[in-house]
Amino acid sequence: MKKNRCIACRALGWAARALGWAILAGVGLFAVTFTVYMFNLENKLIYRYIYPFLQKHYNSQKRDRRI
Amino acid sequence: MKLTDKLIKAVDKKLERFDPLWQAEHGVGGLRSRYYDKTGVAKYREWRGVKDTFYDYTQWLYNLMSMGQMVASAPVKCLRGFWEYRWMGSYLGTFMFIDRLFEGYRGYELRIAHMNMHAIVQSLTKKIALVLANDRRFGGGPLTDRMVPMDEVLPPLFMAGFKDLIPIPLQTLPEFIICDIDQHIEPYYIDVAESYGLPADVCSRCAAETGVTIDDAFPIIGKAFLSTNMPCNASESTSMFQRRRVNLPYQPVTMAMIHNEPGAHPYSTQELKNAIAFIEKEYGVKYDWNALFERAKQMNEQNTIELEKWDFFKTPYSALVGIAETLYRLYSWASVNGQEDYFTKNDRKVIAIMRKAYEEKYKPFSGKTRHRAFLWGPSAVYYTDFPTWIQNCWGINIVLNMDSTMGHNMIDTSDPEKAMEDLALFSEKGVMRHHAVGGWDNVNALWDWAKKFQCDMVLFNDNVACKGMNGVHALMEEQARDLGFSFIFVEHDLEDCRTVSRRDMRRRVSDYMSMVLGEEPLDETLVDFDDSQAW
Repeated sequence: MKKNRCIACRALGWAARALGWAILAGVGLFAVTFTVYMFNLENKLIYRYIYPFLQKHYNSQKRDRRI
Repeated sequence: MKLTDKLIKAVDKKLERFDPLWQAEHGVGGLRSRYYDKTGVAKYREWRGVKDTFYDYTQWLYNLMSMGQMVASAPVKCLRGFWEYRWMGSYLGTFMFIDRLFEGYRGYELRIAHMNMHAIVQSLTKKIALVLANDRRFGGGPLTDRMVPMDEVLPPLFMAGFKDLIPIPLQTLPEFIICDIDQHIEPYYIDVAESYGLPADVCSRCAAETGVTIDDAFPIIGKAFLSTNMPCNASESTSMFQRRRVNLPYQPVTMAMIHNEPGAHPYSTQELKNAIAFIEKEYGVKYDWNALFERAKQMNEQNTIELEKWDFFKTPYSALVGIAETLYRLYSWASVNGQEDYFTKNDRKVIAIMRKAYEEKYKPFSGKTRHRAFLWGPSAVYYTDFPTWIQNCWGINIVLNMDSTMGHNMIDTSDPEKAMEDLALFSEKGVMRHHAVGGWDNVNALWDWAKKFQCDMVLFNDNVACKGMNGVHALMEEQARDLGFSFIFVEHDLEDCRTVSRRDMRRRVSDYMSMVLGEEPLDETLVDFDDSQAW
């Protein structure tokens, strides 16, 4: 009986810890994504670095322009 | 009042000085204050109060997930698509595009706007993934031979009778939608076309399509191609270039242009029947009328809801406004055309919110609207957020756009012959076909529409390269004066932002509002600014 209770207690402990980690991960994820959102970081990154990099690549392409 | 509401109210009060609408009202800034000069890149996103900012954030996440799903569904081919196609790179501007469309939106109008926008995003991302995953340029896929490339101005609903085939409006992804997102993409394709001797005074949309063709930037899909006679000489020319480049067996579906005459409908009906026979032959499949009726029922429900929306548009209490209405109707009608259940479900949710808002006598934009305008003529594709700007700057609510009045007749869902006749009428009233080249009566119907929707103002888009509409300029000016409408001609070059810039378009409106009507702007920061380097 005592052993069973211990297992139950341990399971509860694990569940509590898992829940704690899940909440922490959720809060962390929210903090990161909300910061990216609020400070418009993804658009700044795309506009300043990714888009110009792609344009450079597109401008160097040889296209098949036969008509 | 609940404790959370009290708390939110207290936070909103504390942070109101960051709200650009509050700043504009108090003369300490406005909607343009948070941008880096020229670029259209915002330093930070719009603070709309706790609830609306959080809602906007969740929708941003939601759209991000749709894009993640798109890449995850075909990672290698999506990345190859980004590497191969210049137009794919421009889709990276989508988040900035959505932000600028819904500036100043709050409450119900923000909710509906995002619901409509997400419908488009989830549909478009699936379509991009589908096309790239089956593009022969990247080795093809299991559905390559089941796809039917067709001209995007031919409404694809009649293709629903081929339940195992997938109609793909060919120009939508590489040319049309992407111009909404990035104003700098089409000038490249226009230059490609003009470098081959195409005159610079044709419709820039047709020139851009020709440029995509010559640049070999259409995905390669399908076994046969449905082209159409839409809707002017430049368009017919680009259809010919596209047919040569696509190099598949093709059927031109030449619908009647002047279709108000009763004799036109049997001709258009026969054209659709010919197209069906062509697809049956080329793809070796049989047309299934029940499959058509199923999708026609969806389209009928969407159109029934649309007509109810129009009743709300006639009042000051419509929570669906401006670009949230225009862009959604254009995409859901011209591109989806009854083929995706998501849009019917979305329409049901939107109309429920509209009914609620109407019962509450909710006025969008905090009741700051001063004028109700009907927007007529094909809009500048490179300035999709024009309706948002004109509301935020001058309090002009664009109640309805010409494109939204496209085919809204019901399709018979029991008799094949009657269904084809209804579909012919439906297709004749397609994008631009009905208004731009469908005859003078359809252009002149503007005044009836404007009266019906309680508008005191008419904005007339003037595509400077549209030969069909050039002749009506003075006639419309005269009629506006006779009928007592405030009337503004807004010149633009459809897909070429170099000829008439966004700033030029704004200046035209601002000059009229300040000099003719003697009004003050709602937001000083929006009157004149440079966004020439923005997407």
